[in-house]
Amino acid sequence: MDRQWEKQLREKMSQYSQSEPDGLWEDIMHRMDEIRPIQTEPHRKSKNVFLLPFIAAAAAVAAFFIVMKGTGASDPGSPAGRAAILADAAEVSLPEIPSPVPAGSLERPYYTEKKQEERSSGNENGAPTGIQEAAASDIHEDNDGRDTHISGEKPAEDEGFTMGGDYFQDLDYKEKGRKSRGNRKRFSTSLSISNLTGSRQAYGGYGTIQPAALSFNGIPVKNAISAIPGNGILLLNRGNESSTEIRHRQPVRAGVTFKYYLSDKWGVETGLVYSYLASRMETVNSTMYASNTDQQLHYLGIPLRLSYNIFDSKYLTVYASAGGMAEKCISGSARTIVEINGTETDNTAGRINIKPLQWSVSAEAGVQGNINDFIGIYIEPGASWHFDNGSLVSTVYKEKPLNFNLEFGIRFSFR
Amino acid sequence: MGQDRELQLVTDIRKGDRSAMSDLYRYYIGYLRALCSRYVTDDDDVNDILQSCFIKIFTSMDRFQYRGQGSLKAWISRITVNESLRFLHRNRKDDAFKDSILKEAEESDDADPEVEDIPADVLQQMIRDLPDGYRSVFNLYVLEEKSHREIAEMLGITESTSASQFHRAKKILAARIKEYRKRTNG
Repeated sequence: MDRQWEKQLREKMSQYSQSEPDGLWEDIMHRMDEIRPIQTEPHRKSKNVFLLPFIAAAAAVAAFFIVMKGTGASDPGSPAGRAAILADAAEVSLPEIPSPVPAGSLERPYYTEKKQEERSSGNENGAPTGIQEAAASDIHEDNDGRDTHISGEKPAEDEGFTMGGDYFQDLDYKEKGRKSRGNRKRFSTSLSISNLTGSRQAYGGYGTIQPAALSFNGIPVKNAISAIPGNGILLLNRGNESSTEIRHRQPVRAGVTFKYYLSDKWGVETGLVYSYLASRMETVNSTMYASNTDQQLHYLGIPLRLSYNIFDSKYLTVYASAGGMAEKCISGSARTIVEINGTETDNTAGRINIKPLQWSVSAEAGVQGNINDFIGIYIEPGASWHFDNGSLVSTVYKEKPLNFNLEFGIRFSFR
Repeated sequence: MGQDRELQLVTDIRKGDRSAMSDLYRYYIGYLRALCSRYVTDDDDVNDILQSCFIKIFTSMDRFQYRGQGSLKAWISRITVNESLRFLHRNRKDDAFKDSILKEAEESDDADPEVEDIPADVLQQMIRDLPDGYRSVFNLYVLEEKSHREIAEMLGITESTSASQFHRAKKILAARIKEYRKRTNG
């Protein structure tokens, strides 16, 4: 469709101006004199809104430090890498925070229009006492106000200053053509990758290695020491200290999730999450005997989460969510290599089956930078608790039920 | 107005500097009056609305965020449109958005209005002469670049009402422009 004429008209009218009405400036100054003393009042309210993203970000940062602590003790692996992640997190969240402005938290006019007074004597809200209330209620009205418009109800004839919300958000400057309020996200889909903290245990003695099962059966540490494979270790041992170390590497997680917005703030999220768990058990007795078992597990999980947008602006979204996930081990394998005196004497591989579902609950807080209305990049620290599923296979979920993770992702929003 | 000048004005107005307010007023009053007049036809009403707009602009300047050239104008324009719509809403006639049949619109064809060589003041008056309701929809759609969905939410009407009113307003405008051409070309 040719809309050239609209552009021409727009350009024309944006240049067009009319003469100044007589006496208007004097009237304005007169009004300003009247309202000046109370001018600072409504501002205070808006500051609370400003603080929200700070609080949320502080919570996110705090959560992150807990992650750092949790991993620092058990996984000395790569402090440099983690520091880098932290720096990224700070970069993502900090500079963005001061920019948002509370949506449409606009005070009502400070005076009643002359005509309005004539038409309805009952509407005297222009008096100073009414202003604070109006300003205070505005912030809540902002969201609801639109709904009344959507529903097509004809609002009361004379709403005066209590009318909900603005037609545009005129105190929150937005780019021209920006879809303003009411055009809320309907659902979003995100692609994510995430780590979880790994874990490491070391203890004296030999771990249980049963070639038939080829997994860290019973490795829950207390009963892992007892059995000794019947391959002559005792003879080789000769009183040397032996030790077993199990390292659960940081699981890697990737997923596709869909979020459906129940309202502007609330959403439910589900999807499909793949997790890769790798572990290694090393049993060493000086140089004589060494046994390494590598275990790999693949999980598919279906999360279900409830999320809440704490703060939402054009450039930044801060949210929190909580929920649970059911995971099923879809495939698993283990390979054990036994070396005696540096010579490989045994190399066995096999499959691992974990029948029970792995249940977990989690809570996350996320900060999302919106590149445009459609695409945003987010960082989402979280904590999760994995319930014991009764399986004998040692996994990071079992050894470290309380887990912290940091998820990165890209999110597409549809309106 | 240059960027530095605008920023200076914003800063000074936040401090309560009356001369900065005066400068801003003088610079934009003509444009805002034209803008407001496209929504509201009574000149006294327009003055009242403009007055409340400027009060609002001056008193909430500390919440305005300067985002470069044009952002100040966009912001005060938005306040003005809001105030105008709020006024119209309060004084809305019940039939403002009824699909009344306008003869002159039905008779003309679907051609787009040819606005290029029509003087702005003539166009301004033609827009002001549009029926209530039609006028708001037309202004919001063409001049504020709102979608019909957004307009529907703003005005509490349905999307299809917005679309059909715009369509008719466009036809009326096209017809008036034709008329105008005939008159001026002899």
